[in-house]
Amino acid sequence: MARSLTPVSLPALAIGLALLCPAHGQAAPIEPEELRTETLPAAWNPHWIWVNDVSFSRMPDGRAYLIDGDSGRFLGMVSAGYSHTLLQMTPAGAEFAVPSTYYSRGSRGERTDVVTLYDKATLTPGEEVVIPPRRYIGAPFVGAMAATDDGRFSLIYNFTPEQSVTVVDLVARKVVGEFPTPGCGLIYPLGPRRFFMQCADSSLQAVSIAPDGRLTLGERTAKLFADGDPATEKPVRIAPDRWLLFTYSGEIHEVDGGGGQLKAGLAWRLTDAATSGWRIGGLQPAAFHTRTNRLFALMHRGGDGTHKDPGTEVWVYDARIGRRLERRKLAAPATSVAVSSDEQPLLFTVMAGVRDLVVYDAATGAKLRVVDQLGDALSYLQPAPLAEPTR
Amino acid sequence: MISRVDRLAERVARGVARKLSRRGLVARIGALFGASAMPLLPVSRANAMTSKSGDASDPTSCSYWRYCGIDGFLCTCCGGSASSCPPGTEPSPITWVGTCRNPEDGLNYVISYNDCCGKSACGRCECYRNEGDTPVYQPQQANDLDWCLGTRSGVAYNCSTAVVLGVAE
Repeated sequence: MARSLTPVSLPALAIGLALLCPAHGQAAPIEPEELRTETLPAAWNPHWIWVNDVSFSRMPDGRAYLIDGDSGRFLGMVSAGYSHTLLQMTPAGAEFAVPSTYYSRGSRGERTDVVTLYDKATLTPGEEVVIPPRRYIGAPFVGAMAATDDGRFSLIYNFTPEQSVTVVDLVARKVVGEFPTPGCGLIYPLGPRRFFMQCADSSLQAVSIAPDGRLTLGERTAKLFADGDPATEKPVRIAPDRWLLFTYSGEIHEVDGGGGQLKAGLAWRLTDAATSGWRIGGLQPAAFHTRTNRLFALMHRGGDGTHKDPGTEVWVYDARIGRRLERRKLAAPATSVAVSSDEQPLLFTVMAGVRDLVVYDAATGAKLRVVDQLGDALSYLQPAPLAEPTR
Repeated sequence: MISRVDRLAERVARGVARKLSRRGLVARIGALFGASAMPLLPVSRANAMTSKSGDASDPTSCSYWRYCGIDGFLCTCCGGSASSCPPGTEPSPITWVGTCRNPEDGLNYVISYNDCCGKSACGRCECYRNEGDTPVYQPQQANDLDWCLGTRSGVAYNCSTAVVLGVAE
């Protein structure tokens, strides 16, 4: 039967079957449906990743997309206003915070800056705290804002060009205050109640957070970096109180904020004599996997002035000893890289201006999938947070 | 050995990255910090244009001589000109200043790269470079900041001009 029906068009076939073969209707007809809204499980999968989109060509319309790295499925999104930067997430929290900027008439009018709290299961915006309309507007760097590790306080870097930090108590839903940080910018958490900032004279400024959220400027280090080779605003956190800072030329400087003082730790280089023509580059050019101490760096062939160029390879290092373990060619050039924090980690990359999220096996480098048709200017990648193991 | 196709893809990708790192997020520093603090860009920048090998006398080309230090969308392609903002936009009072050599008279000129602000990004004729760019915590020479914040209409960045301030000493 089926063979004799093949020349018949599919619609005709369907009509014919419906008219001539009522017996085929034994399967129950589709019940009328009720439109509903999806929700997410309260506990996020560690292979889920938020892909932030700063939406450069339509900046009032910043977004973040939640993607399942295992299936490539698009799970949901957040609309986040002008010059969107990051989400503030903690592993345990039932909600996450998004500092945003809005204009009363879209791209003009009165500016309102606000920290909006979103429910992790429904992705709906809930309560919000209006903050001083001075948050840093610029390239979406990791240090532009941060939540404390326990989710209690949201810290927002301001640039007007006077520099300051706004503190929001996310539990009390109120602004604690705005604290001047002259000469220093950006926010890098150290443990639960400290952070450090990068200063124009290439020193680092320690800041402590009182129990009520008020900030106190602490010690400032000596000048740490040469004038011609500054540290980028793209460091990577490798432990609750330790970060790796990268200079333009590829020096790595570990900063240890444990014990109450900022100390310089291990210093090494990403390149050696044989690879001196290579540089680290991009918007989010490195990622760290705590459980294996692996550092993943986006590398490209280039010299001075290429610190924002995309990586064509990812180089894998043992960050404990500063030794390169592997070079891998990327399936596509990338300006951002991130790694999930679980025991079977996925490596994610995006390329600003390309609408793809590329998913790799972080252990082998095998390309697993590409999630396409995403946004406008994919910027910072944030895997779902997972409580890091104690080290 | 990287294939020719791969090299081409890489060059295109790098171009995109440079454009996006500049687009609408560009430092226009100088005036705010006082003229004495303005870093004058080296004349060599005039010859170090982007991959666009256009006409140094064409204001719609990234190779136009005045654009040696520019970052962003060219107002010339957006309803304005090298020295005017498109209708309905507001010039930023803060500028990033460069020194460019005019090949026609051989003189070096100080160029002010004021932004035009108050509408969403124009999106046409992107022109950029990262030479001399510093991190944003060293803002005087950083190009990843949006300096439309000096305007009444707020931070929305539309396009960039290249205004002649005078002959460089």
